Amino acid sequence: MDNLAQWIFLIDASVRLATPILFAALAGLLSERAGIVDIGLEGKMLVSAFAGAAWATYSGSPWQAVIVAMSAAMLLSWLHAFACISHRGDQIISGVAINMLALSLTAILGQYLFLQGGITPILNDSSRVTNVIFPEWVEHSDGFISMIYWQLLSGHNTMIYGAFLLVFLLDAFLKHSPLGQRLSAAGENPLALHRAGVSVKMTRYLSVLAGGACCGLAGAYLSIGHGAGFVENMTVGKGFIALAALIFGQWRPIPVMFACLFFGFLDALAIRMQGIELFSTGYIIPVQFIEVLPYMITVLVLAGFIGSSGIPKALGKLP
Amino acid sequence: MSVILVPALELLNINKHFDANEALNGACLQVSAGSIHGIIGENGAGKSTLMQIAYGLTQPDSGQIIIDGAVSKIASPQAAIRLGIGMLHQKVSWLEQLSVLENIVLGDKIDNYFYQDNRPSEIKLQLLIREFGFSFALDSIIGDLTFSQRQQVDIIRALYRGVRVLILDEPMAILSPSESKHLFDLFILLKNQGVSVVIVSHKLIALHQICDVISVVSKGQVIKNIAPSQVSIKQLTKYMVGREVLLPHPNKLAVTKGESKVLTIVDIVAKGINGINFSVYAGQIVALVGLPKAGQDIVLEVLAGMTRLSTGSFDFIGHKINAKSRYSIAKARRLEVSYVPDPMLESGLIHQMSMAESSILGYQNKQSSLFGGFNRHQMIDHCSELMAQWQIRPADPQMNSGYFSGGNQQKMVMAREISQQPKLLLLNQPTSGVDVAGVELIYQQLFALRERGCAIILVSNDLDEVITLADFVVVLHQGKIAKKIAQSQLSKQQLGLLMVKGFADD
Repeated sequence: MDNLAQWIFLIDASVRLATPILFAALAGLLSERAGIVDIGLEGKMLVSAFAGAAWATYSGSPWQAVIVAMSAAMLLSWLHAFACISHRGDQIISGVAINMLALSLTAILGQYLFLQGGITPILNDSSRVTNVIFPEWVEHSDGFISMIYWQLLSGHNTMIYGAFLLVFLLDAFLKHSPLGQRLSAAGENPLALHRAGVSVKMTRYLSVLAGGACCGLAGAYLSIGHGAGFVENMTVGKGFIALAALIFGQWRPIPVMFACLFFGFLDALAIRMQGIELFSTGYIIPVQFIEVLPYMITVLVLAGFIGSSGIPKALGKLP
Repeated sequence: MSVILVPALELLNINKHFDANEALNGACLQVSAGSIHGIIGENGAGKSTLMQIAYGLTQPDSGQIIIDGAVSKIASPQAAIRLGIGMLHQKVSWLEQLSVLENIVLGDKIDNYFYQDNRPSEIKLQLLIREFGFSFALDSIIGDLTFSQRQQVDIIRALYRGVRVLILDEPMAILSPSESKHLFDLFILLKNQGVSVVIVSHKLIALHQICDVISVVSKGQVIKNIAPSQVSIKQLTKYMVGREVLLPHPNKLAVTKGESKVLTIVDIVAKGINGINFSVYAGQIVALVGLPKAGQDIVLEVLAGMTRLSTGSFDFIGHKINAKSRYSIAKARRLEVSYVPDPMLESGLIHQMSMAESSILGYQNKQSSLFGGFNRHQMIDHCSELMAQWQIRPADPQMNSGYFSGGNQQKMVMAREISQQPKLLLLNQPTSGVDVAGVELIYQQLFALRERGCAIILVSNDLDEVITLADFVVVLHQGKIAKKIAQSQLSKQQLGLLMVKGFADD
């Protein structure tokens, strides 16, 4: 029983930690399936986390704050699209510029607006996105079903359910809707799309902007969903982990979801493994080692185990 | 009461220049409704530019476009499609994993972004398929179709969108004889439905056979409109290049068959070919023929060092090369093997480079000094020399390679490789997109090269070309050799049958 509870807590934590990566990875998916490299996920997440927290502080309304966070990320996405699609700029450079801009801009604006050294004031519960508590269909007990229902399924932040719902919606959208097919055509063979009489530029603009909106949700989750306020550089590389998950999942929504869960699980494991002896030898695994694990695995995974079969053929190429 | 027939498409006094070069200079063209209209002209005469203007791919500097009697502006291909003008590109581009239906409806107007009912389109397309006798199903995946079928998908898409004038750029370039025949039947059906078919091509014999009118483009103008029934093919070539060219090009047999074997291929296996054996002697032209993807391209790539062998070996004047040898493109060049890739792949030269740079591409190490510097004057002189010898126009070595017409680019690639005096020359579709005068020139150069003892391996879809050039033909079928035929026993019908079935009936 103790063991079961431990596992459930671990999975619970994995899901919580996977959610921001999942939102960001889906954002990257929308943009990259249409052929535009999106290395600026990190920066967009950071800006939207800040914008969401700042708006929530002023207005006290979490849902308004989510909209503001999405708009902030879309603004940066529009900048990226303007540079790369309209002016045929380099997609990597534009993305890196967005990351650098976001890191400094949020710190400076944070200090200017709130005078707390770059962080926003801690939000109270009413200005955060609420958790969803399931109806009392199952009794509270230590039984297996009860544990699953109350610990694993119920009681999460609304945005977590949203993230997983989005995975399946996006999958159906890309596979079956006319717009989704155009989107992947723009990334696979823009020439064919152009010959079909569809504007490749417009299609790519739409998908990059949709990616921005999705990335805004990732940021909002960090500062007003899971967290309670903005801290300088609070994304700590999650945008890059999301890119890794995107490659790991071969640019397909459902595999990407599993990749995100895997990275979330590593994160959760790292937290739990801190201070634990290795095989009762008295040797304590260094915290730094555990923290570096997800990145190391990412590098190993990218270096050898994943081919590039799923990569959109025209990714990063201009028509 | 008289009926005045308004032309379906009329281009009036079109002018267009690129940089300092005049591409079109007051060109006028009239395409009547329900006709098959051929457009011929030398490489660089302005045919492609004229067609691109009609389809909205480029904008004219001045001039009028009149569609069904109304002056129209064609700002983009989308606008052209709305006005009933369609264009088939030489290179067909589709989404390989999707079905025919999905590819065709991709460009439809979307009423609902998240759900689309394809049934009305499907019914419409089914009717078209039955009416014109297309040979594919709507739910087949594009990736499984042959080139000829993909071309038909392109045509059906144009019809589905209500095309009235259909422009085709070299549609017969890579079709087998029977596929070409099928395409011509389709053109006649289209014509009877009132659709105008405009064909830009160098295949004068075919155009002479099917066209109602042929327009000759020269130096940026349409200089003549001819009814083919009233002129011979010979006269047609005279209008086009200023002198008579004999068509089909006469062949010239090898004077002396060299005794020395240049290349012996023993049981080579690679991806797409299985157990190929043949030998090539000095001063011999060997042609590899087969349907597209029968393996002829792979044999060339293996010999050029672009594709690795799995097993087997080949012996090239004393150098034995097998799967373990470190054979590469650079190594092949050191052994004096030259390779002219299929011009459709556009891998023969780099569009952004000047023609002078393109003229030494691949052999740049021979031309550079110790620290990798180039003598520009020497390079430009070398290029000018090749341009004069091969009649490449405009004769401007400083101009970007990409601004030259496809035929002139191909002539430069041929010139570059032949100027290296190779011992073995590998050619893939050497005359694709080249005009009759250029083809004649290329053939003369190849015959001269053969006399000097060079061995040549030719891959071509053009069976007339194979019969003209080859001393020996190897027919491939699904990656294996179907038959080896000597020049004296060649016939076009037999070759066609062997290519399709893999064996002859006799």
